[in-house]
Amino acid sequence: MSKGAPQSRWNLPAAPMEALLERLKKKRSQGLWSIAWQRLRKDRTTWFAFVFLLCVGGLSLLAPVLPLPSPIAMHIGKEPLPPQVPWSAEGRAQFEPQYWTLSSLDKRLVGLRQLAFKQWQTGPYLGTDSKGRDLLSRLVWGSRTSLFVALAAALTSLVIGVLYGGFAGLVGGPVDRIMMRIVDALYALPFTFVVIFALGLLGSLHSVAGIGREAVFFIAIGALYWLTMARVVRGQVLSLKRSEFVLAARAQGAGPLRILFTHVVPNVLSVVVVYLTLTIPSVMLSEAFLSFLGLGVEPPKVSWGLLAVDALEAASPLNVYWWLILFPALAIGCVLLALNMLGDGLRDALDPHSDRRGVQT
Amino acid sequence: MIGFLLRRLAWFALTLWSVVTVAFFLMRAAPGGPFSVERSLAPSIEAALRSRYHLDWPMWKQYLAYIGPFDLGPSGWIHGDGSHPFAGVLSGDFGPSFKYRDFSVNDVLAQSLPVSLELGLAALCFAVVIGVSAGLLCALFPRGKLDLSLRMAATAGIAIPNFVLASLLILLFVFLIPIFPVAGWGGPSHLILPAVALGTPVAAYIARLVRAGLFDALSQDFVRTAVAKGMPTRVIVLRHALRQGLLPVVSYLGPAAAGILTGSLVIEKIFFIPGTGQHFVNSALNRDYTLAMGVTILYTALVFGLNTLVDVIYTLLDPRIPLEEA
Amino acid sequence: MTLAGRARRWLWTAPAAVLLAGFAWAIAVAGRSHLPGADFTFNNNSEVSTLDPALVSSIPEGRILRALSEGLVIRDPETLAILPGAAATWETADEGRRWTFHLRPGMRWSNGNQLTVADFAFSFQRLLLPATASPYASFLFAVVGAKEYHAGRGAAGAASWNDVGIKTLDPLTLEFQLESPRPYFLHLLASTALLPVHMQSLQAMRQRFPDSWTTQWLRPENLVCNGPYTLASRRINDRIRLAKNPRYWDADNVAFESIDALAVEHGGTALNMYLTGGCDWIDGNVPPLYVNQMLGREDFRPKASPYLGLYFYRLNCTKPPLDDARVRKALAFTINREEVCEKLLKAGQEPCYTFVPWGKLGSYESPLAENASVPLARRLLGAAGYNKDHRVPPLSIHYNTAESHRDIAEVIAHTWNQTLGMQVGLANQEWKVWLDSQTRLDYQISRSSWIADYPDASSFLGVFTSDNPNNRTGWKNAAFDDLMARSEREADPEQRNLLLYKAERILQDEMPAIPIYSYVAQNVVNPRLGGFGNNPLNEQNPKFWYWKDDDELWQDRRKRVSSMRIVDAPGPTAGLYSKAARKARGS
Repeated sequence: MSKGAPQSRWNLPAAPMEALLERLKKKRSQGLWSIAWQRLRKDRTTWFAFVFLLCVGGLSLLAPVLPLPSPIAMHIGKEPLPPQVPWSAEGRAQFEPQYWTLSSLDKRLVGLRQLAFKQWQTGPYLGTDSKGRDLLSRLVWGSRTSLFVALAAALTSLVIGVLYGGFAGLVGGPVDRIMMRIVDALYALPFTFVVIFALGLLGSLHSVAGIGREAVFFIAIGALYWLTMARVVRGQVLSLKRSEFVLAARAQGAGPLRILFTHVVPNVLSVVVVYLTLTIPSVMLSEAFLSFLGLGVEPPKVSWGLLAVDALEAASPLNVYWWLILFPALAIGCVLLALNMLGDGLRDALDPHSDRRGVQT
Repeated sequence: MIGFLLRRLAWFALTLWSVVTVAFFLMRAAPGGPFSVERSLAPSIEAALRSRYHLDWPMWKQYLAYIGPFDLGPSGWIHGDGSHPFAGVLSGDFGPSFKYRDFSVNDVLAQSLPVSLELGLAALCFAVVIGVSAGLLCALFPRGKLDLSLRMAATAGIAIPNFVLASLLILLFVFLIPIFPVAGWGGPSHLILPAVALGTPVAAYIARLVRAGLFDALSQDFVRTAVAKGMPTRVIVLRHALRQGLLPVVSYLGPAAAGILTGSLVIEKIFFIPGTGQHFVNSALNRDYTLAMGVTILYTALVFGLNTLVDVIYTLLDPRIPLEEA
Repeated sequence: MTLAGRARRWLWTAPAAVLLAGFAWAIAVAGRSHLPGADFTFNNNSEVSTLDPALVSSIPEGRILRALSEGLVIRDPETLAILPGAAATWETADEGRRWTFHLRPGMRWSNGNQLTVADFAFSFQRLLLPATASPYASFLFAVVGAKEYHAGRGAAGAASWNDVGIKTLDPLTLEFQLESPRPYFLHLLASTALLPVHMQSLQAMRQRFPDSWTTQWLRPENLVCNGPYTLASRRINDRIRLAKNPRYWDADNVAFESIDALAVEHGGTALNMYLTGGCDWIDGNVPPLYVNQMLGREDFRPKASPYLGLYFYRLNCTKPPLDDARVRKALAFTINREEVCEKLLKAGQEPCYTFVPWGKLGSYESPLAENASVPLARRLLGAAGYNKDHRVPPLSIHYNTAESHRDIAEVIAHTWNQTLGMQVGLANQEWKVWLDSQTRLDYQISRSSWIADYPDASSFLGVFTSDNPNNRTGWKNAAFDDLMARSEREADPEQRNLLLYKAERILQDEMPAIPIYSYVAQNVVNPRLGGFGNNPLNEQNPKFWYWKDDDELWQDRRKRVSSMRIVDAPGPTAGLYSKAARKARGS
């Protein structure tokens, strides 16, 4: 380079340059979320999982309106029926509106269903169980309970974890170290233990304060999953504190609140969302385990965990009721698989540094 | 290294103490006691029974007696009646089990731990072999149908609850194709189905880790050099990238092994295996204070021990050395 | 490559080598821990909590103890008649107030020591000691001075064994002095609480291990038994292996050389093990999915096995609205027991309206229940002050976690809602919490059951006396207590039945609890097993068991009703008989 006044080496005309600069300006303002959304749509498996979960969620929300038999109407004395083809007349009965205590919205939806479909109901397309209850209906209604409990527990863990981890990360120093050591110590407690005692303790609360048993349940579960969330959030906050764009923002003179809301929160949220989708499967597995012990969701309410527990007795040299095992396993497996794939895909999409493309040979 | 180990030991002691304290007081706060049975005892008799196990002492005194070996006799520095139903945890004596009254907690654990170890080792072997192979296959044939299907199988393996998997396995391999016995413990054929049920989630997770680790390793510079030199893919993956790719597996195996080795209640109930997993749950349900504390301590020690071991191995297997060779 | 580098390379293989070595060890050890099969295997439903006879209170322990020990008398497996056990003969004098038992001479413990009355006296003293904390100390309260001894009092202030009416006249003669004639005294002596323990080894253990003798003396290597079997090995939550006791006085009549008692809790697994031949007898726990298919098989005949057990709802009589007997009776009159038994239970349980299950026990017959009807129930509620404007406050049924309890509670709550317009909720509680809430009277309606300890009506009626810790309803009635106390002292069976009848009438008038159904024994037994007793106490004594050979098996099948389906009866086709039986059969 020669000394002296800088000379323009490329004598390009200004007009195309202006057009180019305009285009670049538009592209520059793409945020983290829009990039993520584009990446997500390109990844076919994750997109498929997302759509599948939307369908499942919609189905479970709409459960009262669907022309399904009652999930708890018992017809004892009959043998469990294997799955029937839709045109068979076997096992057809009139619709009996028997449910556990539903919310008022659900009650209205059931009323709507009775107006629309009158007495017709779907047949035992997936078979019936030992008490004559329709399996398809129990799967759909069970998804409501399972997904609701899982979401509620995950959200509880989210709130506690974000607050705890965010605080620890922001404050830093010895306070942060002590808080994380407490988390480590709590990690060492065996899960079942704490749940059983928490349920025993809170069970007496339930009779005092009239809180629903499910509320007790998901508070207890959520209170156990916040540990991972706290660790993850703290790690993210710590790395963000020292990151370049926060430093740059500070150098530009941005105030702490502005930094918090425009830089820290969106990045923390991304990690949080990913872990949320990965916590929900863990909570559903815990719910299944607690149902095995009898401490989970209580009949007459039905959940996938309870269906999985019923499946344990369905195979025997006398008779193999394969539909009682296969369909709940498929339902649980597919939904949890989709949640995990969504979580993986979200992590790939939201993490700007991930570049898992493999070896190009 | 020595400093690291000593620091770890100190943290372990501190964590163990806090876990023991929390568990001790949490258990006694729950309603119901170890001696409530359907045939009620007269109140005076129940009081006599409780006092024999010192359950009528104030909480702090019970706690100290449990930790031991303080002399709580009348001449000791804390007033007591001088009898010791057990010598205290610090002396290695976990006390008599309240539920299995003919055995001490040491006996109960000594009987069930070898069973869980056998089952756990079998499950771990299965998990490592299947998981590493699956991850390797994904890396050798990336982005193809095999990769996708293995990835989905791995995610499904993590997703399904292990007892749902167990009931599927029983359906397939005990009733439809009668190969294995339905339940029990005592021969190699009893080992296979529960080991598969226990090990599948771990295998799936290992497969994901190996796949991710290998992809990370394969995106590094030295791989590009090797490709440029004309080395076949197989050699690159197996000889060079695998070592680096297996590192996250090593650090995951620590807590995973702890979980598997302590067993699972549901698998043990379904397959009728006398392992340790059921003690975790049953001791809490039976309010068997001493056994519950015993398994908690065991679990904490196991998690800590395995984590430390894994960290040490990790440090020893420094990935930079293979690079110099290449 | 440097030496360190080479070493590092091989270090990679170390974890793999360790894992493979561990796996090989696992396979090898798994093969070795396989015990050879026992002659007979049965499922004991749950792991026993202790083998100390003084502390035992549930059925799985009883089964093992009856194999390991023999009391003064035993019961016949079919008729429950009293048979000589360790005592060869006995007499009673003074209108049943004095009992003298003569032990068989030459009886030995499994380690060769002589079995004398000193062991029995020691065991009874131990049972009554307050420090032992036995739930069945009250079985000996009939004996003079026993109650005071148990309370720590004696004639001269401190408790003394000399004040108690159990005397050892000579090494083979034991005498009981009772306060009043107790008609079922022999049945009490046949119960598990009054089984003998080996005095010398227990005392030796206490000396050697002053702090931890409780976990030492019952180990297989230390336990000394006087019954048909000894404890060969024991693995928690797996199995208890019993081996034939060669020193048992009647060893020639014992057929099986070894017996396994499994501890499978999961009903589905237990049934599968039975059906695949891993187990020869399971008691109860048949999953509802399979009950219909099991009924009608020759190995599952619950309809022919009435069991002295009662399923009832305890009512908390200390708090409104259930402190009013009219409300309680209204609740009792409107339960549809037939629906519960036929639709939900299906195994042959019968509705029960009396406080003694099956309505009769021995020579005792319960009073007929009041003619119940819904209008009568409504009138009772009205008389108690409840009507459309002043409704009964909401009630809740507490039950411990089990699907069957929930289903029954659901049906009953539904009935009460429909017929009486009451709001009744369900409260599922974990076992310990449920027990705790019952003991502390922190419930309104609580599901309960009671199994007879001995075949007499007082085993059921006595639960509701005011000083019985098993009452747990808060109900007290002085007239009832008085009648029960008098029945304990009454020698004449007719008069006694009358007193019990009057006592039960009071229970039916006051309804501190609502009887729902009577149990049936749900045994699934290999048809080849002989000596299995189908008795109302569902009490099995392994001493009498043997395998039938094919001839005997088919003879028994011909004797039974032909509508039952024949099933496989795995086992030795030539049978397995005791030495004495083989001699008798001439082989």
